[in-house]
Amino acid sequence: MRMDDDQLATLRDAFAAQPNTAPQPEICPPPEKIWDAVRGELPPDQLRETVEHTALCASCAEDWRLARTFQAQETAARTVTPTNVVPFAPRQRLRNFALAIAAALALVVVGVQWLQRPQTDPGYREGGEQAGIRSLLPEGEALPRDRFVLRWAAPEIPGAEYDVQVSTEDLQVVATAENLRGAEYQVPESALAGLPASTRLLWKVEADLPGGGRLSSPTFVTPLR
Amino acid sequence: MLTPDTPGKPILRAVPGTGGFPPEIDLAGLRADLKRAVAQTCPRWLSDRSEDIIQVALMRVMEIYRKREGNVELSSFYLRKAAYSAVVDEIRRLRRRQEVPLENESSEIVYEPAAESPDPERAAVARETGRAIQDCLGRLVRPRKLAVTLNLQGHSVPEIGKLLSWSTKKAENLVYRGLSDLRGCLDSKGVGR
Repeated sequence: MRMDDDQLATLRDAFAAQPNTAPQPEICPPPEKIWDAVRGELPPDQLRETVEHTALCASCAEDWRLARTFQAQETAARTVTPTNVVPFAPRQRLRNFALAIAAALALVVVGVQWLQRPQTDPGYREGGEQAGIRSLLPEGEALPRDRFVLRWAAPEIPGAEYDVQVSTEDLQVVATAENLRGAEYQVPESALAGLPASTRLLWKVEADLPGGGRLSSPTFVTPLR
Repeated sequence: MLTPDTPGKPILRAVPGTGGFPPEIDLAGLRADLKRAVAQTCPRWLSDRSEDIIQVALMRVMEIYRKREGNVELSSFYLRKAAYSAVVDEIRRLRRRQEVPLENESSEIVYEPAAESPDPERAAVARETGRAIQDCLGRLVRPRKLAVTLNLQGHSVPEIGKLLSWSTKKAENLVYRGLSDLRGCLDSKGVGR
């Protein structure tokens, strides 16, 4: 019998409510490791060990949820679109359109300056985000649900494999794909079946580089027709 | 002082020879995010102390800045990770030093989340169920244990698949079967009905 949402919510609440035992430094993973695990950035065996530990250690389970909540805030902050969209009046739309054009022009200017800047020693850098991956879809153009094909460009990383995650504005995951060789992904029509027209879908690409690195794109927004 | 790096990239460059918290860092935003995360996630005895916890954590982040002076670049991502680590360290320290440890049947030190809920009876039932869940998770075969644990932590099936390098189908199967095992185990204990 499949568990319904209420039952699952009750179990989740209870799991979170178990009394915390005192953390044991010699056993409990350091917080940095939990952070990396939540981001999926640990080697598989270490990630599994960490998850297994949280199954039996209420304190570390709580640390995991804290990392997840904190990271979700970061994701939400990067997503510029608000969850509850109030429709704009026509005059506001016109003004917003003008602002969008101005912002786009500013981005072009900044982009050109960035491309022309002198190359410097990269130095210490962690996270490696927002490098080079850009959407090839016209901004704001809705795609039909039977041909919801996401396309992107990452011209400087031939041989990369891509992971894609598609979610709604309230961060419910709609579809994911892994190890794609090509720079496009068609979201299955079945995954979009429950979504109303005009739903704005957020999508993000991560590239596994041949040399072992990883690059993340910004979050793109594509409406569903 | 820190200077912003490439536009669009939240990376900052530390300039040597200066101290204090860099004005470019959105300290208020970081503090607010931390506070919200602690309030959403931690038991009340901890979230009531979130101001102190976060203050200590942010001071540690400042210390990291000072130590990294010398043309190093720090991303906002790195800062968030450092802030999280500092908060967890502080929470762990508080847990170890908690003033009123209680002894349960197995002599394991546990902490009573006092006044955790406006409904103490319901909170007690939830804690009992929580203990039973933990016990039952310990009995599941490993793949199901991993899948169910992540699901109980709020991860969706596709997220679980991605984290554990499983296909979504496999993740769904393991979550489904694992939850079924868990339900059976809880029933056998007479818990959660």
